[in-house]
Amino acid sequence: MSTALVIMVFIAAPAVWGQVSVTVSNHTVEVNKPFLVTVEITGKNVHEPTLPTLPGLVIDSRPRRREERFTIGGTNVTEVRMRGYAATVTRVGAIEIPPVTALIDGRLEKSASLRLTVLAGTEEPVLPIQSRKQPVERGPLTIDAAVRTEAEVKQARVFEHAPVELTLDLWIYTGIGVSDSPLYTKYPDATGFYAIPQKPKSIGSETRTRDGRNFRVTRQRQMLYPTAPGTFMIGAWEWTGIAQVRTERGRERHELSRITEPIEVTVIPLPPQPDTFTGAVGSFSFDAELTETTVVQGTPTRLVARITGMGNPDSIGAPSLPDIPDAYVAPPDTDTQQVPNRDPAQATYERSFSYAITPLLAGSLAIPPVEYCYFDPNDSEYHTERAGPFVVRVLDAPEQQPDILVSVADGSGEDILPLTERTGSLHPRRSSLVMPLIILLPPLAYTALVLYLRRRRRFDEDARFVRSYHARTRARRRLRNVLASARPMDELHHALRNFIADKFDVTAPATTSEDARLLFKSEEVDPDVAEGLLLILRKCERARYAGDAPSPDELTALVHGAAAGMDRLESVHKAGVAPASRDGRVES
Amino acid sequence: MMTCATAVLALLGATAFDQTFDAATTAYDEGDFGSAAHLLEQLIAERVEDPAVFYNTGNAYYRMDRLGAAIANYERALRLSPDFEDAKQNLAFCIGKTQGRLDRSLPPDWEQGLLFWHYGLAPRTIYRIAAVSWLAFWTVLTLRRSRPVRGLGSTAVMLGLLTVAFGVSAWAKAHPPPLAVAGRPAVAVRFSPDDGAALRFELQEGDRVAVDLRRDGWSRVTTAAGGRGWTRDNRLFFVGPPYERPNFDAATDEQGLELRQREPES
Repeated sequence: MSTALVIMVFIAAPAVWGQVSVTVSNHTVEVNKPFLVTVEITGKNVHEPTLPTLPGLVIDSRPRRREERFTIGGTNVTEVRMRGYAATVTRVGAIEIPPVTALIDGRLEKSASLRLTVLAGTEEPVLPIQSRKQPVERGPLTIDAAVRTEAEVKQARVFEHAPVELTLDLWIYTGIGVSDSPLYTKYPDATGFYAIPQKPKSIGSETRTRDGRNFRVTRQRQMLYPTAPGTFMIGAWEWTGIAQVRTERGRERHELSRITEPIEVTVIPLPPQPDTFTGAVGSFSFDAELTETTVVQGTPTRLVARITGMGNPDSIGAPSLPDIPDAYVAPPDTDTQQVPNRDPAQATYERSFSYAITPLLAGSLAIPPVEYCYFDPNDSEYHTERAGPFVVRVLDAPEQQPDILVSVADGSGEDILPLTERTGSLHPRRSSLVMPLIILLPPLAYTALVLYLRRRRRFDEDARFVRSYHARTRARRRLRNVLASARPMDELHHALRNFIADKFDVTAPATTSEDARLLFKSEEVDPDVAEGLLLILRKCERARYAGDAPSPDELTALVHGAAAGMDRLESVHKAGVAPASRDGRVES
Repeated sequence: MMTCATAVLALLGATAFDQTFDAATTAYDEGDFGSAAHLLEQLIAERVEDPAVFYNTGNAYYRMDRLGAAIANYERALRLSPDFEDAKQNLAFCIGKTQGRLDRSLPPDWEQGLLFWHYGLAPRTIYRIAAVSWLAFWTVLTLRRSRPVRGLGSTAVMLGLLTVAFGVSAWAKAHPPPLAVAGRPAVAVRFSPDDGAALRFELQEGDRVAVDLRRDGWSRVTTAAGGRGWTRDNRLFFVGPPYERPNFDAATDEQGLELRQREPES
């Protein structure tokens, strides 16, 4: 039992390791015939394989087949990555394909090498008839003959800028199945040519008979325009597809590659060009017309010149207009249109050039004929076509509006009217202050009036404000009388007390120094200011009640101090600030 | 003869400007149109902005075959006095002499719609009405403030509206659309302010254009038909204000006729 488990483990273990395996579609191949190399990589974290190199072995590094599978076992996710590459061997004999390597789970793993036997080219197995509709068969059909590619140009020798019609045909025997989408295709390199469209365009398929057999022929076409004289090669067309055939061995899939031969094209320069040659090469027709034949002076009309035909549309240059006197001609607006056609060889282009012509004079504007010169490679000749001449009737510009600044006067006289006389004395226009004053003074005066009226109303209605407003004036007046008074300290006390009462709207006789102190405190008067005034008040009270009269000098100092204190209180306490009390008494 | 006339005028107490004007008139009558234009340009340079001065200047330039300068001065006269009939006639006459006979560019649509009524009024008239209505407005407001009387409020509102209307009109008159006149034949108008730029179209002498941008000696002009481009300032006569001096000396412009041949504008 335990032995069997070990075996199973050993058998199972390699499955989680990374591994690379290589197989081929055939171990016996023909020289230069493609076969498929399939690489399979298994692991948790796999990378693309690195293909080996060997002389005589050509492996196309672009995988023809891709496949990824993931298997989940518990917490493990294993990826199986498969890549199929087309390969060929270029020499007869035995060949050993070296191992293919790949990075798996951080380790470099490699496959086993493979041995192939390479034979010289032999006949392929005969394909059986697939349909009763086939004509009489003529001998066996090889796979080589069942699929063919052909490339041809209609013109191998052309003029510069003349079209080269490139046709690519894919012939597929109707008895086999070939996928519509080739595995690989590389269109011919057309360096030196301007191509329309950029890649050959499929223009359809049809059934044709060749050698007594029916083939489905798919045709593609591209127009090439050589840009310079010389000899150029249109490169090979490479095609690779998968064909499914039924042979004696049964149903088989064959990868087929085909390649056409390059095509040489000789480009000859154009014959000497006339001065009027516009650069257009192809078969064209030319016409021109005016959008309006009657315009107002100064209003443009448009001359539209159209060139229509087959050729390189980018070579269709603008016609040069003749000189048109008394008119301004603007540079043309260009427009290119293509008449839709599935076949690029049948594509027709129309290029138009639109000129705005503005007549400067009223009357009749004559536009000379417009010419267009192009080269037609079909007859190797330059052709010049003409349109016109044209006549434009130009009307006078309309008269001016009579109600805007100037009315249209008759102006039909033979001469201007004579000079006029001056009406009064002439003066220069000077920068005057009158207008700025007219603008500024009224609103300023109005604002001043409004402010004045507002203030007056306040004086009329707000007694508190009035009292406070006049407090300082009254106090000054009283202070002036102090020194001359018979009882100066009483006078000073009276002045100071009344000032404080007026200032804070309290009853004057009730304002003692203590009241004043409490008042100052409640009104948050600056302590320095308050202290100065309180000091003087107390002095006055002592003089009054204690008979402590100051000397004259001291009295003068007290008066000055009182004045200064009042000024300071006036400045810090604006008139009209509502005091804390309502009944004239300071609340302690 | 000019000296005698000047002396007589001085005796009569005429101002120097009046004397210059009269001297120009005398020169014109004697056929010396260059001198007449030169004297009148001196008045303009001294900021004597009178319709009669511009009109007579236009006449002098017309006689000198300076069609563009003549048209520009008639336009100036009409901007100051829109009902100046002689200026209208002469302007129309000169426009008829131009090759293009192009319209003048009109003011913007909003201005034409809003101020349709003011084009026939002289700027001075509008300034006065605006000033009077302004003063009246504040007077009524003041009266209403000091002595409220019924009806003063609505009167103030009406006066205010009147002030706004005439104020806007006054501003528009003081800032007319910049107008210029091509001062010579075949004035090249290019796509960009560069002598090497492609030619867009040409103006003929006397063609009037609106100017909306000036830069480094170039002006961007627009015709009434909408054609727009750049041209050199010295090819144009700017109507103004401001009233720019012409780029030539009228008094010595005797060879002006020869100079004003069609110049090949490259």
